[in-house]
Amino acid sequence: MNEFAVKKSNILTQYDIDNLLNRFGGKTSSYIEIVDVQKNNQIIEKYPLLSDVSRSSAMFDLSMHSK
Amino acid sequence: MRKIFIKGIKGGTGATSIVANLACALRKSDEDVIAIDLDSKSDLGLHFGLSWEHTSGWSNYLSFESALDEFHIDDDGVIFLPFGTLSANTQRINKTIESAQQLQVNDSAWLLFDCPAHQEIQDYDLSSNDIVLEVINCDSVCHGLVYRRLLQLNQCPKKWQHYFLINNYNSACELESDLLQVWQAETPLLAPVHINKDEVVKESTAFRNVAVNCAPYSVAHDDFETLASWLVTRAANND
Repeated sequence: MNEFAVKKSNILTQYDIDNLLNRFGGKTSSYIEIVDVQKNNQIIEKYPLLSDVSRSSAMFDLSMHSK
Repeated sequence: MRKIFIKGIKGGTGATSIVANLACALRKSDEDVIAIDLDSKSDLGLHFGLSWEHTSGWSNYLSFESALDEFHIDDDGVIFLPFGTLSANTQRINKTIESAQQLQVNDSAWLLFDCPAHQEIQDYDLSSNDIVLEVINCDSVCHGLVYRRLLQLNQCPKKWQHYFLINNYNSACELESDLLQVWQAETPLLAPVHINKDEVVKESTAFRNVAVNCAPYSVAHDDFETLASWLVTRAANND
């Protein structure tokens, strides 16, 4: 049986980025923003004050667009 | 004339240091820069080499026109105007901002205002091309204040370009690293550049100077240059 060595890395290769662009669109874009929503939620839950602010502000639409 | 209003979201965020370093960084790119102190603690001049004994400024004069002798120029060519020792109400401060715009300088000159943290930004007469940099630190108090400010901005008819600028960021601190990650992902109006914590900012002030001058190979120097470049790009978009 073959045993393959698996390289674990957090660094995205160009191949990974191309895959993400193909999957989520924006294929022609030269910029891709990757947000780890799950990790952000964990951070917010870790701190009571941040959770408090997050819960309260969720009731408002804070999306703003700078010029 | 390009106007930048810099204020801390609370006291002690380092807004005055940012005004002084940004002024020098812009000046090094051959831009004309005028920095005006609107904060009654009147310490902006110390960063530009003004002596501690010098206490007078525009607030000590009846009108802006009569205070022209209080303009100083530092070794790099940054023109600055200290606040002085008297108090000034909102009307007087707005009159000073308006008069500063009448100064005979070229159209691409930068007017930087060091605004006190306690003064509400809505009190100033701002136009759509004005940029407000509200200085924040990576701490939980600022987190709460940022979201409170976002609610305020959401409710008022915002006419200016508002950004939150992180100062004194310490990547070795877990809380700061966590907050930066959350802010970058979720917080609207966060400036795409931040200023890292660097001791040279404090040290250069002790020499009555700025980090951009004293430590050309420092992290702070690079950060302020990046900030200046970003603002030049933003201002170009406005033009």
